[in-house]
Amino acid sequence: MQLTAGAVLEAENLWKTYDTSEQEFVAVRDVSLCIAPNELVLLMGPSGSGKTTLISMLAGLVHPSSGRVVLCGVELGRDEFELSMLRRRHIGFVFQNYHLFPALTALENVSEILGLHGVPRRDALERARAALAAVGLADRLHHRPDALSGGQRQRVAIARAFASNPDLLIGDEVTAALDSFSTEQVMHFMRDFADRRGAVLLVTHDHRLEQYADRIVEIEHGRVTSTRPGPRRPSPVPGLA
Amino acid sequence: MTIATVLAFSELGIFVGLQDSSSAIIGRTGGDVWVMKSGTAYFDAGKPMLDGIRPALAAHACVKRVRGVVTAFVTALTEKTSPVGAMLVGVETDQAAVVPWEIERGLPSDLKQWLNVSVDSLDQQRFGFAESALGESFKIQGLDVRVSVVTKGIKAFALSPYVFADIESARAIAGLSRGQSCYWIVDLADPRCSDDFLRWVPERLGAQGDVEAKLTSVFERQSQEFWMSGSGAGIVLKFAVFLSLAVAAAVVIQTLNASVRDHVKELAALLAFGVTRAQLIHFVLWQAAGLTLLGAIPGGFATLLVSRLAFDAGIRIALSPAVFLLGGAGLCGITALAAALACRSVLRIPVRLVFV
Repeated sequence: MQLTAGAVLEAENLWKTYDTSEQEFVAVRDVSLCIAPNELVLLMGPSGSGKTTLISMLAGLVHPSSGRVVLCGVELGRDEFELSMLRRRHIGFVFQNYHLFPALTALENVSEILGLHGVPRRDALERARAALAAVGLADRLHHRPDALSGGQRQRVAIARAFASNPDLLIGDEVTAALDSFSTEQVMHFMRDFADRRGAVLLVTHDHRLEQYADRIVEIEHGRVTSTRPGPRRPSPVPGLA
Repeated sequence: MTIATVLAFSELGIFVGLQDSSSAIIGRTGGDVWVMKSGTAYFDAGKPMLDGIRPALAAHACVKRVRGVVTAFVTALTEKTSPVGAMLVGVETDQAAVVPWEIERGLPSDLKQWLNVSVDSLDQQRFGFAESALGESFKIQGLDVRVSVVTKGIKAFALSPYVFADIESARAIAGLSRGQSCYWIVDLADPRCSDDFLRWVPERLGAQGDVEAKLTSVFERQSQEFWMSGSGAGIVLKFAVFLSLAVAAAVVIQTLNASVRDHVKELAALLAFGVTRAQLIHFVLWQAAGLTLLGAIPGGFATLLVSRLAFDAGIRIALSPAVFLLGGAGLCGITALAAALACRSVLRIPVRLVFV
């Protein structure tokens, strides 16, 4: 398979097998996938279909048993430090349960990551403020996660992912814990990010998200069963000026 | 961490305080060499020696001064309590050493009066004295004595009250003759004579019974070892110190480990974002240092408060610079161990956890 020029992420013949005590378990079977810049891709499938294992491999968090992943033109190897640097440079993450530090404010949750990435403190704070303002949380900078609603927490997590200007945003069930209104807000930010800055890959069960997607990839028993175009629908973020 | 600091410093302070009290009289009385009955392992165990030893010791060319100390376990009888066991200590009050010390009321010279004694204010209740014991009278071994000095904080390791008196009064109470004493404390004109003098004592005084001489520092150490290592109370105390340090360690380890364990997913998220494990370890180490400082400073002040309250309750927590240094070093060691364990946990965080 030839690598696609300009692709943000390309996976080729990915396999992942786990040796259990009784038998070999195949979590991902021969998956190939390409994500272009400004594309929002949904990865859908039932529980246990291999979605999480697949995005873990695509993000360089889990090594594939065979096959390869190329992120922004660089093939992912096995060196932990190099993988960390690649993720730092190119990937932002949004998680179902946010994974925000409860003792830190919204501003600190965003700026600390930038600080750990080597951004000077003043710049980190400025970028964090801008990222939080961009997701409509300019008035919640100094709130701790427990003082925010689920939707607001997820927006802090999105700001954290956006702040480092990644090329690819990977999200895992990012709307699973949100109500319809918050889901709509979050997905508009995702769509906006895809349109203006980079690519988005979201794992979800939620068929309501299809309306925001450029492409929907279905996976079952570790194998891609279908790929179809989605009806993308960018629009202003509801509830936010 | 604050609790750990109070625990570690307090227990060490109690240990050092009791260790000091096990030999405090020896140190306070001073002198270069102590002469005593052979086999005397600690101060309170002093037995009367025969007459004639003092002039014999004074005859040695190196000897500048000889002082007597009488010690006897006595029974005190007051009007308001049942008999109280006490340790009588008779000292030559006209000599230079200030014994007793920590005097709250009265003067050391007041003890020169016949059958005048000192009582510690922490023991007043045991003797049945309401306010100050000063001026109170009671009986020791059937003799009427009067309290002319009140001390504060002089405690025997065994916690029996010390009652100080002039040596003549003490001899009368203990039934000793004028020439008898339980210890002869020798001040040498030239401390370089000490080895020669230590050899000379048993040779010269063999006829006066089984007598031996020890350097003051050696007798102090022996007395401490007897109580701290040879007595059940000392062993229990050591175990208590060990236990408190273990509890302090458990508290600190638990706190730091919980800070990793409770945030495994957040830390895994940082790893996913490209933060290296070395950076996370750095983060944990800073957290440990902050925890130590934030806990140790209020803990130090809390320990001072605890020691003040304990002193009023009759327990001496010796918070000397050495205790703070040792306790501080212990806490640093505990924190370092806790930090190492927390770092180990950080190294084992599977980054794939972020999606679980």
